Amino acid sequence: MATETTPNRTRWVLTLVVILLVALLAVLVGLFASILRPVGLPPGAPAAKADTMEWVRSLYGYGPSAAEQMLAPSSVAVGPNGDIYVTDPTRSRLLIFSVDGSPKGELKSKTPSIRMGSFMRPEAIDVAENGDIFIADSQAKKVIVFNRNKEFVREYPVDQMARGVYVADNKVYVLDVGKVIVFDVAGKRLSAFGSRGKLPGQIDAYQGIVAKNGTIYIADSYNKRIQAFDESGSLLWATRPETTTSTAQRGDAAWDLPQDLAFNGKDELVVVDAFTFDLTVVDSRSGVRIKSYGNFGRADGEFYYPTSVAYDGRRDWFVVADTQNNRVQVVRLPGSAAEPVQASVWRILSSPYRYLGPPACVLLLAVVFAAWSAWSLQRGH
Amino acid sequence: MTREEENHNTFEPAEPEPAPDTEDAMAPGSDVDAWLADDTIIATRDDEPDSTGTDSEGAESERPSADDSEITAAEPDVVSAWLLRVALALIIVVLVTSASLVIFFISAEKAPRTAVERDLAAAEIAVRERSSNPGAWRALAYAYVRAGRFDDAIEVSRRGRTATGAKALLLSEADALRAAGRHKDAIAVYDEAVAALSEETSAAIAAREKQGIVTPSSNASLVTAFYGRGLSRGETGDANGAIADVKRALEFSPQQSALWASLGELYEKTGETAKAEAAYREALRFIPDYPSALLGLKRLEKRP
Repeated sequence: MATETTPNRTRWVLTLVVILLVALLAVLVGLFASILRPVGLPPGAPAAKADTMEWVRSLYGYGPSAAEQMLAPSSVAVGPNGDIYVTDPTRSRLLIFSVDGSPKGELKSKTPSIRMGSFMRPEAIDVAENGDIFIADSQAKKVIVFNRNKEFVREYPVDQMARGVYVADNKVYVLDVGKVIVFDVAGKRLSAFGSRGKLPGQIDAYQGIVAKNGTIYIADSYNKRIQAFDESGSLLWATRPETTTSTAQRGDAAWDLPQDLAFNGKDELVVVDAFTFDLTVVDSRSGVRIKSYGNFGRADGEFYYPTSVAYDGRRDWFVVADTQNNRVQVVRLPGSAAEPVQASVWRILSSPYRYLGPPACVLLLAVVFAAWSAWSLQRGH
Repeated sequence: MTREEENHNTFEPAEPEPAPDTEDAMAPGSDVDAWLADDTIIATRDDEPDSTGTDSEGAESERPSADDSEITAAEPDVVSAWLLRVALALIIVVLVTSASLVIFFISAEKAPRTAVERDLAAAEIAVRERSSNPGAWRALAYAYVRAGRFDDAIEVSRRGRTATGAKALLLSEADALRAAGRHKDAIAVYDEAVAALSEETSAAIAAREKQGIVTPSSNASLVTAFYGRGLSRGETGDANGAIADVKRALEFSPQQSALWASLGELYEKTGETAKAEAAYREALRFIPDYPSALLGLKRLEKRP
């Protein structure tokens, strides 16, 4: 009798232990998931409908207090490793976030001034392939460059006011007042073109400038249009300027205050319009509007005077400076990716939920081990 | 009767046969041979001389039960061994999960991740820094409501009222109760809020009148109180009470499309379609594309 009772008791005790461990594991995973999931997610997030904008995350700053949060961020850029760079001109600083939204650092002049190596009002930003950070300082009349270690590298003086900056093909394109100035990365001025005005070919822009394959695209904000130039400054195309400010007369398909633009994975332009509170996909060869995404609002996934946009091609998401909401939002637009499958993998690796990866792997190994044990013990018996 | 006993009783060979080779017994397609081989093996065991010198018949009656007890003892051992391994594996999984959780806690930033978290963080800081300000408590209560933490919102409203003496915090408590679906409790607190705010409003108007200033009896908090109570009454099935409350709110604030649209919905519920249509149209006077009023009119058009 003793030989039958003891194994039974052992079996019951071990079964109870296993059940308790499974329950503990379920509680831990539930707790983990609840902590990772932010409070007040927008309806439907993180999943989104196929033809709508998908909210990924919002960045508010590096802490809960007002001083630790952004105040009217004006410009955004994406670094080579996906880091998100945000200018916070009101507080004369640059904030850096990692791909999962966690704060990574800050760049700030000890004493904001026009002196070499300092900046006053970082209005616009771009990051080169090698990680160099280019900041357009609208008050100090210069573009200032820092390396990836946040060490001062050089400055590019401009004529009136550095409003926008874009780095591509070893060239630095700077948007001055009514003018585009092109430098090489060493700081040598290569060319300049443009004049301020409303006529086709004239420019009255805020910060939106990008370039690709010898074509320079400008979000001509105050003229309510997008223009494309070649490197010599000849106008290639311009969208029709709006002659009315009435939304009812213009209809929805019209520019109101196009502030910035970026390329998506298919070389289309994505333009952010502050007054229509949306992102619009545009054919970069013709300027024809394809589709708009986004609405006015204060909730996550809505915009309130957005002023800047940048694209992370590896993860297929857009980073938007949602200026009046004092935040940066990461959103996705359908059909933007050049390589959607790879982008999906990169997004998973960039998610805060990746912290659940190690426990999930160990759990999988445990399940395999349990199955193998059952098989080997049965076989041995 | 065990199989071995049955074998000896019914299938005892007339002459002892040599034990067949095991390989022959397990020849493919030879089930009977296998069965025979099995029996033969048992018979062979039985034929083996017993070390104690007892005859094979006597030993046979003991041995099957001994074999059975071995099998009974061995099976739980296998299961227990497996359970032990599973338990050890689970302990490792729990430890890794706990370690990941701790690492996340250490490395996680306390920055807000959504608008709701930002509002909550700002309101909590405001209450810490300005605990005598009723507005800070009110903002925190509504931030909790937006975060779905209704009990915290109710608690904060009560604590804020104790700390500041502001009766306006009755309203945030009532709104939190309504958001939590506790409509009867909400109506009771709304009653209290309406009484307190009406008294405050009357006193303020009287004080201004003494100074020769004539002011309209408008009070945003009172409008919210009537409107909130109306919504809660509507939820508890008191449509007439709800209509009366929304009308009271409209007396103070006749240009609010939301109030007119709510009135239209309440009239729809009571079947007074003409009044509902009039209310919706009134809502559209102030906001021509007010969505719920437009939807209400569409619903009315579809009615037979």
